[in-house]
Amino acid sequence: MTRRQKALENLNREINDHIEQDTQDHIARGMTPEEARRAALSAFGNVGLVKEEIRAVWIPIWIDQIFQDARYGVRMIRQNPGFSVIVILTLALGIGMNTAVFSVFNAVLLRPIQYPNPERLVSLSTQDIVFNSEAVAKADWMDWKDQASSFERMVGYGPSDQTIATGDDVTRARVMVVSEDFWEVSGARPVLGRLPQIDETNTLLLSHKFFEQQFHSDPNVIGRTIDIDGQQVVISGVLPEQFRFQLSPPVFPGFDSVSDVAAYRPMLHLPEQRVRSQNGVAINLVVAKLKPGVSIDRARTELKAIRTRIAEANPKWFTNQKQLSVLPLREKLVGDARQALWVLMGAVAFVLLIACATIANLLLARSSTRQREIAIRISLGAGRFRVLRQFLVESTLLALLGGAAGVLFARWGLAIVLHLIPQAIPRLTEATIDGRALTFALSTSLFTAFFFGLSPAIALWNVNVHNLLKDGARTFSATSGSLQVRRLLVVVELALAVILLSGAGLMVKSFWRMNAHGPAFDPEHILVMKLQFSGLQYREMARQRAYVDELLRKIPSIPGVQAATVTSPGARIFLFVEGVSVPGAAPPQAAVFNATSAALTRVMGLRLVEGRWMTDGEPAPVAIINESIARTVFDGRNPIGMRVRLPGRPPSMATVVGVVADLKYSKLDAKPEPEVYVPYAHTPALGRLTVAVRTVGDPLASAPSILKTISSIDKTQAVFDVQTMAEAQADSIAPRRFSLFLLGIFAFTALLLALIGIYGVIAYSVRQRTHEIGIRMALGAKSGEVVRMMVRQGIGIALAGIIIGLAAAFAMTRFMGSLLYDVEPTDIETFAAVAIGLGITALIAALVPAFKAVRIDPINALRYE
Amino acid sequence: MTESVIQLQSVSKIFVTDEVETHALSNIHLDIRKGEYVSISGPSGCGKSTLLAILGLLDSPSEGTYVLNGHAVHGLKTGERARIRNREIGFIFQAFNLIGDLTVYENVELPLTYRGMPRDERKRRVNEALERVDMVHRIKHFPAQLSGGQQQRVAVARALAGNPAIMLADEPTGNLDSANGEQVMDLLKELHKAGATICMVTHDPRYAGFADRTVHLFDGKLVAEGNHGNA
Amino acid sequence: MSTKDGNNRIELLQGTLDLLILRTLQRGPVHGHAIAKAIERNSEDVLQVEQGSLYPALHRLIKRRWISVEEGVSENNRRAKYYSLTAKGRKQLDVETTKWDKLAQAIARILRPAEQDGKP
Repeated sequence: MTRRQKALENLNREINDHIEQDTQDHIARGMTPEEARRAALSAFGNVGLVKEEIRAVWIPIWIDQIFQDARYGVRMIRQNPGFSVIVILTLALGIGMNTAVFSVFNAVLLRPIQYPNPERLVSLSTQDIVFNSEAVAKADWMDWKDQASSFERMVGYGPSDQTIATGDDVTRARVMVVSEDFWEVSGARPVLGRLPQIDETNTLLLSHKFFEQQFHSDPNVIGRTIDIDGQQVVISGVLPEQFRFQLSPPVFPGFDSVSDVAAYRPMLHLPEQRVRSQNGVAINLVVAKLKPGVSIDRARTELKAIRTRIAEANPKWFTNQKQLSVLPLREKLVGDARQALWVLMGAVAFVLLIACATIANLLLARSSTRQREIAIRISLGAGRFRVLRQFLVESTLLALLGGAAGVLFARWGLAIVLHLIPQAIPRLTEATIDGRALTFALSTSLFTAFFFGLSPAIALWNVNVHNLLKDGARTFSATSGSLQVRRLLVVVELALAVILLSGAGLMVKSFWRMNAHGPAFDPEHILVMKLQFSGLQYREMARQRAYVDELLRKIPSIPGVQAATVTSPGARIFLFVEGVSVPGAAPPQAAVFNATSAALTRVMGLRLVEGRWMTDGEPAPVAIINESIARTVFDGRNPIGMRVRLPGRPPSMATVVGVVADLKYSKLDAKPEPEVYVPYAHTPALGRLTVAVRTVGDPLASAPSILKTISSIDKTQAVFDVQTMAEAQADSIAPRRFSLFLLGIFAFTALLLALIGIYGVIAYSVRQRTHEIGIRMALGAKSGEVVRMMVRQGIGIALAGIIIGLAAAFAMTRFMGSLLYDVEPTDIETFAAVAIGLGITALIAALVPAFKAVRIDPINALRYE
Repeated sequence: MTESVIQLQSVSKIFVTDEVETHALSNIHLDIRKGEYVSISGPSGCGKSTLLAILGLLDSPSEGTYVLNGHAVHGLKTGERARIRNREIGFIFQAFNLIGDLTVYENVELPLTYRGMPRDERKRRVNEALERVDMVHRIKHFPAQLSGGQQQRVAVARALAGNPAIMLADEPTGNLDSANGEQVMDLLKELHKAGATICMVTHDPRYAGFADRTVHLFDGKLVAEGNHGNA
Repeated sequence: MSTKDGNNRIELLQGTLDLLILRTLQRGPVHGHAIAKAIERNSEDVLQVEQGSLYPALHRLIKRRWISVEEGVSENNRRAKYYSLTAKGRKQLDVETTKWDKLAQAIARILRPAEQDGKP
């Protein structure tokens, strides 16, 4: 401030000196002092103006002017609180939704893995395209590790759910078994204790969360010995709170891949694991770190060469159903979520566009009241860009307020989504409103400000200043151009709403298709839980069978229980059919192998198509197959009475006695799979089981007594993941539920905004044509005719919006193919439903203000101008 | 010594709508000298408003030349016209046309802001202008809180503040009762005495008499000039 | 009113004043009043710069870093601001001079046919 004052003082002195000197010159030429001074002043010109111009050179005046525009903007916001609140809330909705989706997008797709040099991490796997699993045989991994030169590190890891006895409690938790390179690749540094040494395989590192929950954050746990699946291990450390397991989750059939990792155990390397035999190989997952400067292509080529060498040395080792996959870890982690997130991001951007159009519409409606103000400003010498800037400053203010409220909305929205569907997308729970999301919110706000601030300015671009100013206090009608713009905006809103509604409609239909099942299957009344045999005594199959026998005998006697059964986790096998399958060649399809009991039909409501179902106490091995496999593997022959080979050492033969209808009860969004059902008494090993109980009432109400009964059989065997079948199914489609939930909200918001838009335009046009309507009614127009006249333009707008929207939706829904189930992206039924539904609601939205027009009193209307 | 502030030479204005040409003004010559007080009168529809719009650079003539304060302004672009309007012209309207959401002070300040004047200079000028119309005590009021006469005085202050070459008044008393109307006319007279150049459009013969000279407009043509003899 | 005499006065084209100032400063640091006088004198009083307009122009040139300013003492022993060309300004002067020459030639070529008898 003082610097500026000093500069001003200097300037004054300089100018005074100049005039003084000029005066002296004139005196020297013989003028009187007064004449000289006057001449000097006149030669200099307007001193005030000169100073003004110089100051304008010093500070760009626009800063001052923008400040003034902003002050006026604040006043306008406070002057019309209702209007401002509507605008700010609409914006907050749009920006909030966008920010929330962006933060998910950011966490899942953009934010790099938090391990050092994430760009160099690659996921290596052998994918079995028939059994739909991926893993690397341990022998292969060891050869890669020894021979490949592209990698700095190569982590082998494998998850397992284990029973941990923490002293006062027995709990089941996900334990990640990791090779020693893991610590280097993840950069993990324990907050308590230390990392295991190479040969310390009987140690355990706890995640911070598990440490808090099971050990009450007691630092003395370090060095304590605990029991895991019957083995004694020492807790060697606790990992930091922020540390996450970020290597690609396992893909095994029947394995839930999103559980948090509770603890880490060093991987044991046994010499016999290097031997490649057909009967069971240790497998694990592999993530490797490329050496700096090595491309992923080079790594892939190198691994292929190593595989070729392995194949030459072990001719029977690889079949062509096993394929090498080398992918950047980040890509691997995102997987299917990528398309869903892009679709959601696009959809939510549409919501924002609609919000912008709505606000532009509101501003346009108000701009007729501001025409005079603008005309005054222009008459006082405001250039067009000044006027434009003023609108932009005002809209920026609104947008920033809306953006701030939007960030709050985003926080709540994100919390709700995470609460409802946390397991929907890998790493979803890591989504937060971070700096990047805030930057996104800010830039989105500024973008919207530009978008909706511009439209009223354009509508006022050609106002006839003089006409507006000359007359008295008469109010002014909007230019017809502004109404055109408003109609166009509503058409755009409707079109966007159609796109979103079509997308949401397709997803609703997918859900409907997924949940379609026979009347006998009643997932609401089935309780499912998992059971894993642990401990040495259960290594014997006889003990397992005895346990299951007792389980199935005791549970049905609990009040409220109708039936109980068990199923094995659904490993896949190749079903060799005697007399059909070619010896030595793989059959065309793998089948899901279920070891189960006679009660399965009663619990699940399986429908028998042919033959008979199993009994508990079959004298000889029997198998029941479902229709899917009956169609494919039996070569068109009647399967009843044919013999199939069951897994085991040595394999046994079972006679097919029945065929049941297909039923999908685990993963809702998968096609029905070929399945084989065999009595559990005739299977070689059970290991892990799902217990399913059908109840009369609420299955969760019966859960405590069921659990008590199970515990009474053998309390060392823990049951976990207790839920209703309906819940389990819902979890199986969590990613889709997530997408549907969001898309549904977006579509609903879009619909609402578009309806408000069409209502607003008709109401506005009624107001504008009050005079005309009055004349028509004075001349005897019937109210029906007036309503028709007003609604007609609404219908025109709606039709245009719907047609454009359908065309766009037709072109765009194909991008959501992977989100759909058993529904074509261009499903005519859905499109028709959307068009009709929207048409009807739009008609209603137009009718409401149109009926207001009928109530106009012609006398008042004619007086009103 | 008196220079021309406004020189119109052969100015015509033709509106073309759907193949119909309307000659709103034809062949107007008008010369307004520095310090003059000219009134333009005529029946409604005679082209007064169009003429005033052209004088005020809100519209441009179809033909002819317009020299404002030594600069030819008839062919200027919109932006340039806005700049000159801001510096050279002070408007006074029938409907006052104050901005309702700005205070008295801010209304008067507005043209100076558009000119890019620094804040302290603006403050000095606004206070000076409001003093001259005797409205300093209402500086923080909003237009709606003022009577019509007071609003028009604020509008006069706004026109004055920029120290324009000419003040254009369009029926300045049209929305006022006669007592307030008189007051505003007295104010204009006073400003004129202090050296302001004023051009006023009115159809009220009582007020036309306040001017040095009256120009009559009929059907877009100047028909007569009357001199009130007190130039 | 020497600056508003009408017929003899030639209004400066936009940007010309900058060129004249740069040219005047070529000979060394000069203060404001002297610049105005120098322009008048060198143009044999044909060009009459409204002296006040000199100062905004000077400040614009400072901002563009074509000239610099420093305190000095004037011939009558008063503190005064002396303006001088910067290296950038010197370069700019060459550019502007060339441009001006081209413009003048072009205009002269257009006007010559109308001036056959020497005087208009």
